Amino acid sequence: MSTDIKKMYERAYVAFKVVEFWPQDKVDEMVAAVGWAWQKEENAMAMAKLAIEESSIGVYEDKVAKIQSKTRGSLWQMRDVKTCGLVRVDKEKGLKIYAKPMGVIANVVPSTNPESTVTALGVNILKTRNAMIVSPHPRTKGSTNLAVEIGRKALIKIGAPVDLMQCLSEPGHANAVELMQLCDFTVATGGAALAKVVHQAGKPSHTVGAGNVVSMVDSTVDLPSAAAKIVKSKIANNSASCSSENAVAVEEDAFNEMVAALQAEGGYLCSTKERERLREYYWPDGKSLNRDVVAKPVKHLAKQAKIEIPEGTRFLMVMGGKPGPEDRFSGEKVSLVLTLWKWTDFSEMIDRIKIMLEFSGLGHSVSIHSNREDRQDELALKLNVGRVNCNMPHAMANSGSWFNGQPCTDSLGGGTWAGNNTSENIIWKHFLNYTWLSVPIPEFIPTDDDIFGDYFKKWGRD
Amino acid sequence: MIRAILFDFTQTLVDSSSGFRLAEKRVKRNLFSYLGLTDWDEFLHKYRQIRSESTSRSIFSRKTIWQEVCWFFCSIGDEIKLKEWEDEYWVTVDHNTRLFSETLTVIMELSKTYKLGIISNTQGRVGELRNHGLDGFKIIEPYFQSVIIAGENSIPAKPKHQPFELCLNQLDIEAHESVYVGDDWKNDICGSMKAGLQPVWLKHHSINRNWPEGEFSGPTITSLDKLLDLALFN
Repeated sequence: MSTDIKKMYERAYVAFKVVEFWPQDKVDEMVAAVGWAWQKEENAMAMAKLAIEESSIGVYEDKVAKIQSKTRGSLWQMRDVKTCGLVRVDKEKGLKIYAKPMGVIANVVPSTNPESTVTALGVNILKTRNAMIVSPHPRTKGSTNLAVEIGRKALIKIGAPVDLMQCLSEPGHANAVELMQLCDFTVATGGAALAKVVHQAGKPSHTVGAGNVVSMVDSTVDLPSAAAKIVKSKIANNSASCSSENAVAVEEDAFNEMVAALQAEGGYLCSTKERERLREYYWPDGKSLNRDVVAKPVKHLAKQAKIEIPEGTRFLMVMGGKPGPEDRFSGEKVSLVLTLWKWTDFSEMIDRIKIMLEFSGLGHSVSIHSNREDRQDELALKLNVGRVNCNMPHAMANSGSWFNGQPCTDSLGGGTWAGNNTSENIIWKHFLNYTWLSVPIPEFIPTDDDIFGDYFKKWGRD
Repeated sequence: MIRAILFDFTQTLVDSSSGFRLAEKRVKRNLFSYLGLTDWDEFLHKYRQIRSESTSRSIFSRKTIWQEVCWFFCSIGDEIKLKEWEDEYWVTVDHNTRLFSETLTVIMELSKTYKLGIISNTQGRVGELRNHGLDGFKIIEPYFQSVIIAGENSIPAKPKHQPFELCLNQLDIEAHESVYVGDDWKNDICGSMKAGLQPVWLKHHSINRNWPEGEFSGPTITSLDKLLDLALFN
């Protein structure tokens, strides 16, 4: 076992023990100090700049905005939340519920969001009086380390234990596994394969799943407005987010107009031949996604696939073929290519999306642009996803924004559908244990009729 | 007075260079394809960097190294596949490892006068495979009074001083009384020099590689039989 990681854990544990019983006001002050430091323009800019230099993933301005919005959004949503000591009383049931921290949490962060995953989860982990040791991705260890350093300086400023936040200096698979085996809990933001590694480490954890967002569009909405929202979400960070739309499924009556609206927003519809060249570039062996495409500018993608695009093109579009593994365009692409589907029967399109999600992205999310509440409900009822967002730019809405109520986070649970422990947006409540204190209440024992009355009326007592 | 001659194993007593070259070529292609990459230069650069960093931290298991390469390129290596590749890797190395033509003769001659020892870093083999390539060369084993596999069983890897000292203790020899023959600049020459032994740098004529530059005033030989002519044995 590496001495360094063990020592880091020991230091983190000592820091955790200092804050373990801190009162709410002291904890909130600490969270405000660190959150303020992270969202400061100069710090967000420094983190974003370094992340781009290291990874060539994403767009600088979008990254700055994301660091700030996720940090501020998380802080705003948790402002009145009690996470320390007695947090709930139910006099009728004679219950008092006490919130307790978990201990030292391993935060395994991806190369796509090496800074915002630290800040968004970091404020939640501190809010719950836990310590955090971050395991960066090797490609982006600089920006992740910078995020942690900024947080540590803020902790020092207000006299909080600095080792509440640490970061591995030599990241890698073996060190990440060792860290997870040592820590009391792990939160890991990555795909299904990472989730498997996390579970093998043998400690409780939260993991997330891959995305493969399909955005349903019908003729009840203003199509140019829907197109603008979809594109805003699609091109953010060059589609680095798992919440950016991978596909748009449009009602047939609205299809041509919607395609025109997407083209007006900078979409280039590939011909059949161009689609084939793109396919060969994206999946050179027919199966594995070419890592070179992830969150790269559209000019780069077009050049590599030998597609001539007009000036002003912001993303590429291809027609979908058969949903599922036979057509890789129906899966997650994490890049500026949007797959188009056409439907006449809403329920039938849901069935096709089910196939796509089974192939890639089960548990994540789906989007709909429709003014029909029955369709919004049908989508939410039938699809095994943690989130459905209606009439909004999906990437912004999915992980919480100023214009919707989804909890603000950088990590989205995909439920058991994705092999995760939660289907929720991961926030402060996912880093707590609870002690339930119970006192006697007047005894009440319900009769058979109290419990089974409705059943008896229908089926009798036999 | 020299009383013992200690040796490295691979590329010193045996030639496994073509075996390693072939095995490395094969696994690099496998990894590159598995990871769905298209930039070979970037992959090769990173592969070499990770391999070098791993061995400098005494991580010799090929599977572990390849897992780190996968991790860098945002993939989790399939355990079964990596194990298959590792097994295949060592089979390739073993099938293409030979004693140098002069090894047995030289060892037999030297053993008449000197105590002999081997200090070799582990190759990171696991499981049912041979733990070290040395196991396949029983013919020379009787001539050595001490064999140290460093980098496992709590013995630090070369160039740390501990494996050299352990070997000397087993032979009941002082450092200045022994010569260390090896091919690797850092692990063998620098490591043995720092431990107080007298290094001899073997740059075998049959091995095609780029020898690193190093300021070394000691003897450099191009085959093992040149050892017999060295002045420091007289």
